[in-house]
Amino acid sequence: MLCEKCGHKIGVEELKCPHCGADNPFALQHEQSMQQYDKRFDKTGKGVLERARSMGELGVKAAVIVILIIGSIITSLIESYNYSDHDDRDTRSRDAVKYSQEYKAELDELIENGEYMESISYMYSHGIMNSGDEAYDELRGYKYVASDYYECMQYIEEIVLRSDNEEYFDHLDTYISGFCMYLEDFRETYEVWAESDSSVKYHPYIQDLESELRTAMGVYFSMDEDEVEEFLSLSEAAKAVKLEEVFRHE
Amino acid sequence: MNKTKVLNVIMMIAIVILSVVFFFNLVFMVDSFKYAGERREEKAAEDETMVMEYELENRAYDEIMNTWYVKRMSDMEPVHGYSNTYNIAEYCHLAFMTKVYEAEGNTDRIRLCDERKEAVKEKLGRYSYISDEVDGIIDNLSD
Repeated sequence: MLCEKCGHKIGVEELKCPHCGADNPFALQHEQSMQQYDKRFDKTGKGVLERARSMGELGVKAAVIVILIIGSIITSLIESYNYSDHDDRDTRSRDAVKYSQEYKAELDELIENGEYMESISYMYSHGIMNSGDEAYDELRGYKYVASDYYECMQYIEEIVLRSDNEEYFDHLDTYISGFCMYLEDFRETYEVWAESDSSVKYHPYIQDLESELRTAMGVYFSMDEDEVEEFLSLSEAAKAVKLEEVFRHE
Repeated sequence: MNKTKVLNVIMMIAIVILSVVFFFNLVFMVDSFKYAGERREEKAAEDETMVMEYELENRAYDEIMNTWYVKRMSDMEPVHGYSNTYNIAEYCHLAFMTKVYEAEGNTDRIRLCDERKEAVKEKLGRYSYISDEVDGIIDNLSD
């Protein structure tokens, strides 16, 4: 470019003309622009760095939070595992399939000896109750009827052997309602399975369960055969009322 | 206050709360290892004996039988600390069933029951007095 005063050629960035010493307005303007640009650049750079640093801090904090949450979950899980009773249900289910022949033979022996309550405990403790293995298909009817019989007999036992201490917890109402509920279930399952084609082998035992339950009611509810029959014909609620009368002497 | 600062404060509060939770969880977890180790069986046995003694004091045989039935759903044989509960409940059950078999006139089962009752009676040890008490309750109700 040329100097505005002397007309000599000068560089664009030269602030003064080297020939006449006149100011170069383009260079001055350029210098000012560069200074402003540098300031803005520094400001932006600082802002970016500041933002990056604060975002970095937030990231670290977020990571700490995630680690603490995961740590809390893991410690809670370990703690609850240590306090829980480890259920070996899966092992039992596998064994029920693996040893089905042995288990079935032992069960049949218990049933033949009339140890029906034992047989149900055996089925629960050996994973047979919930096993879908076909080896136990034949037992299905017996299993359903006997498990209701088991509940009924357990309730009668608990009613008979409950505490006579008036200061102690009185569970009689709970036992009576539980008994009446399972008695209804028993009668329904008995009707279905007593003559079902799929459990012919166990028919005599299913009938024995029914007869034994009637006998137990007769003995412990102080009823003769007709009274048991009459009791069985009552509704669930009426049965409960009747038992309340018997045991509370109302 | 800009968003970053608000977020910062919230995160600090969260870190403090989570640190406290984590610390307590850690303490409880260490304690749970002690329980899972040598103390579990002893503690269960101590607790069971205490509960059973209390139930016996109140002649609450129903509760003992309930424990027996529940435990036998997973273990036919008594686990550590439950042998007395099993013996007492089994005696109660046999005494109960004897009356049912007597009413049925099933002599084979009565004989089997009597034999088993005698065997259980021998295992009752210092609780042998319960056999008379249970027989008394059953006789009283069934007669």
